Parts: sequence; C-alpha cells; structure tokens
Amino acid sequence: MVKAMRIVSIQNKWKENFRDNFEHVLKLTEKACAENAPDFVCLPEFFLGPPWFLPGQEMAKGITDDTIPGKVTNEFSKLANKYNTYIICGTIIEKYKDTYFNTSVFIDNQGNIAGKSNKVHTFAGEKIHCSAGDEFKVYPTKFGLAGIAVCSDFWILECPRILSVKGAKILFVPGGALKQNVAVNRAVIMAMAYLNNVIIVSTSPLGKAEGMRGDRKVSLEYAGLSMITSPTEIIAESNPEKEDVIVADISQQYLNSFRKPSELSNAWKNISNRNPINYKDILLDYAGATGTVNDEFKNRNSP
Amino acid sequence: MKIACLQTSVLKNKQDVLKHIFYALKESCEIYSPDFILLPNNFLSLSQGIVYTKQDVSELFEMFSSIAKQFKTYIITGTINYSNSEPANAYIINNEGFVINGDFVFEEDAYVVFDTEFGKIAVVLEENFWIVENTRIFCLKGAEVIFVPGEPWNKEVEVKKASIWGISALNCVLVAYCSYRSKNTATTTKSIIASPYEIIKESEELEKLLFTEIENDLIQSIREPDLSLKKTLWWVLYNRNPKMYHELINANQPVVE
Repeated sequence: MVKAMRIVSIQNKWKENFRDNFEHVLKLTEKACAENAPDFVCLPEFFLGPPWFLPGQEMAKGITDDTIPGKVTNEFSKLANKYNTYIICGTIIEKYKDTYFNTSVFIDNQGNIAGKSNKVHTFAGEKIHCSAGDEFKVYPTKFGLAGIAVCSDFWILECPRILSVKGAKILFVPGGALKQNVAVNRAVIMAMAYLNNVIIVSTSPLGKAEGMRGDRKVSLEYAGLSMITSPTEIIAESNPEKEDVIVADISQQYLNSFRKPSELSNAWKNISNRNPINYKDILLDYAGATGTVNDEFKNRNSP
Repeated sequence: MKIACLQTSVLKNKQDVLKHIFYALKESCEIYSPDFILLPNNFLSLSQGIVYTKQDVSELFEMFSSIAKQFKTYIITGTINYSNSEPANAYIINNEGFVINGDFVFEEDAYVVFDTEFGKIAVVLEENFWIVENTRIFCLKGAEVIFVPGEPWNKEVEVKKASIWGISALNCVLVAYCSYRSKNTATTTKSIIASPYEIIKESEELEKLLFTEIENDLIQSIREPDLSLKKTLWWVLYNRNPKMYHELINANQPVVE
C-alpha cells in the first residue's frame, strides 16, 4: 500500500546579490528535506533570482540562467537522490543552443531528470527573449501522474485543463505571483483545483524587478503565495510577506476520494461531465484581439 | 449597467409561483430599474412536481414580455421546461419584450452570444457552468457578461465562490450567478456577481434580491492590453496558443477511476 504523500512547497526571498540565491535555496531545500522527509518538493519560478530580461535586471545574465542539465540541476538531483524525493525544480532560464526557455525540471526520486516543462505561454519580456514550449507534459510518480503548469501557463485555463484531462492528479505550479494579483491568484488556484479535480501545489518567490522598458517605467513585484490545495479546501498556505516553507500530508485515500463519484464532493463531475465533441470552438482565437499579443509586445518593446 | 439577481422562493402551488414571480419582478423593476434581471434555476418550483401546460408557459412569456417592455429591462429566465422529460432551456427576453435566443441545450452550435447595448452577453446553465470549456468558448466569442441561472449549494460553498470568481478572472468576464431560496436548511442560497478582480457583491442567505450597478465599460477596460503590466488579466484571453489545445476536443477522458 502506498503511504500518504508529503508535499513541501518552498518560497524564497531573492537575495540582494543574485549569486547567493542558488546556495540559499539549496540549503533551504536540504533543510526542508531533512526535517520533513517529503515525497515532493516544489520550488518557485525564478528561484535563482530575476532573469536578465526583466526590467532593470541586465546584470543578472549568466547568474540566473543555466543549461539543463547544469550545475543547478546537478545539485538538486543529488538532493533528490539523497532524500528519495521528487523535486519540481522551480524554473530556470534555460540556455539551450542559441535560445532560452523558461523551464521547470522534474527530477525523480532517484535524482534523474525525468523531463522538463518549458513555459508555453510566455509572458511579457519572455516573449522577446525566450522560446515557447510546445507540449503539456505529465510525469509518472509512485503516487500517480503529476503535471507542471509553469506560472503564466496556469493562467491560461486550457493548460491546467489539458494536464488534468491527461490524468494528472497533482499539478505543480512554480509561479511568480504578482503582488497586485494575490487575492485573485488565490481564488484562481482554488477554482482550478475544484474545476479540474486535482491537488494544486503552487509557490512564488518574493522580490522586485523595476526598470525602464522603452519610455515606460515597469515594475514587477512578486509576492510569496504558496498553497497546497485540494479540490475542496486549502490544506496549507504560506505567509505572503516572508520567506516560508509549507508542508502538507495527503493520504492516498483522500487523493482517490476525488477520483470517483462521491456524495462528499462534486469536483469529479466538473471534469467527468465534459462533452469534448462540442468544444471545437475552444480552438478559436479570442474574438476581441486585433493581433497576437506576441506581435504587439514585440513591436512596442523592441530595443 | 444595473444587474439584479432575483432569489425566488420555492412554492408548492402553480398559481402561487406565477403570482410570486410577477410581483417579485415588478417590485424589483420599480425599486431598482435594473438593466438585467436574472432568475435562478427552478424559479418555477419544478422540484415540487408542478407541471406547466403550454398555455401556462405562453402566459408566462407574455408576462415577461410585458414587464421587460414596460421597465426596459432584459430578463434572463432561468430554466423553463414543461415537464421533466423535456430538456431545460433558458431564455433571454430583451428590453423590448422579445425572446432573442433559442434553445440552450448544448448542441454543437449552441455557443451563441447576443449583442446588447451593454455589450455581448451569454447564458450558461448551472450544470454547464462548472465545466470550464463552456464559459471559455462564450468568452472567446466575445461575451462580456455571463448569466448563470444557478441553484443552492449543499456543499463546497467556499470553493464554489472561489470558482465563480476564478472563472470570471480566467476569462476576463463578468459573471452573475443567481440561486433560489430553498427551504432545505442543509443548503446555502448564494447569488454572486463577480468581476475579474473581485467579487462585487454576494447575497445573504435569505435575501430576495441581489442588486449592483457596474460601469458599462468595466470589462472592456480590463481587456484592454496594458503593457505597463499594472494590470495583467487581459493576458488570459490574448496570450492563448489554440493550436496546442486539440487534446480538449478529443473524446478520451481518463479521469474518473
């Protein structure tokens, strides 16, 4: 019988010197593993610090990006192996050939890179500097299938939906929760857990990136918003004001209770009552768009 | 725009039901002058076993038409059927007294949005609302307000509230959800009007009416691309990549074990 799974979600606060973030998060993760013996650890988007393409962060180039595999994944792989835990390695700005991706790496509990999820719906400056992913992946674990929705992928409801339809029982969301969106972000996490009948594990770093983009001052402030949420309740939630680690135990019985018709919850209906044959129009573009956001963003923000 | 959700009572007698609806609608119009009035599922108390004849329904529509015209209001009826064996449909009566939509059974071409002077609107029936693809498709077609003739909830109140807000946020759309007042003490009557950034208003348990006034261009302004990134929810519609969503129209659903 599979034991209850223990999930740890880590939200780190960016250090003033971005070079310190890697060691710091590595230590936070090792401490969380040693203290909690988790089955899963989820790190936030940009846990290494802001990528160089965020406003005013040019100095971060070469510091907050890496290859995959590379020094960052190598160290987290060692931890995964040492503590027999799956690690959803936040996101790393992945240098790949002559391009970059915003990538979350799924490290299995033997320390192997089981796969990586490149952000599909790139956001803001990523549209200029990163390539978009082309797949929504699910990963087998001993607790069932898990999916990764990389930050802004989570906000395009088709992404968590597809991962859930593909059978994911747990969605990991390495996010960067914008401070002005914390309240709505919280509601959206609860909504997606209920409407897709999944456990959601989300986390976000704390930090600020500010600078000029063209003739505009742009400021992005990330608030910690870590949550472990079932279809019917928030199981654990971080303090959004500070660095934090949250832990939740989820029994297999509890997890499976959502996967079959039940008097206790309607969440199973929200996905099993789908009628895909009627959804062809979900392949339409939004009728109000005058062009693609990619074109618009690139045109207005080209250096 | 002014939106009213009329939380009707469940009654046992057909004549009482019709009288109740007429006076509740009329009173709401006289007091609030709403641009839209939304009725809940079961506003005809069909759960009580009442059967309506075609003549009854015809007279009901005449009443709706008369009130809509007199008070210049749209009425979204909630579900109407003659008997349990027929599919339930909801209707929009415009502010000139005409029914402007056909059936809301989800046939292949059923995702139709309707133009009003307040923007494009659509109706999503209760059981369809919790399936995210339905509201999504209406919003892709431009719907700015989604009306949901809803029901009381017997569980999961907090996640359902969050889901109404979440659906509003993830589609950048106004959602008006109207429930009826149930005598079952195990259920919660909750009507909600949600905008992408907040739940604008929610009903108290036994309230007869939920009313609010919203700026006409609220949704248009939230959907306006803001490249300063002070507001970011517009991305939820603009940043899609539809060629990657084919898995949503496949029939395979390995979800319930």
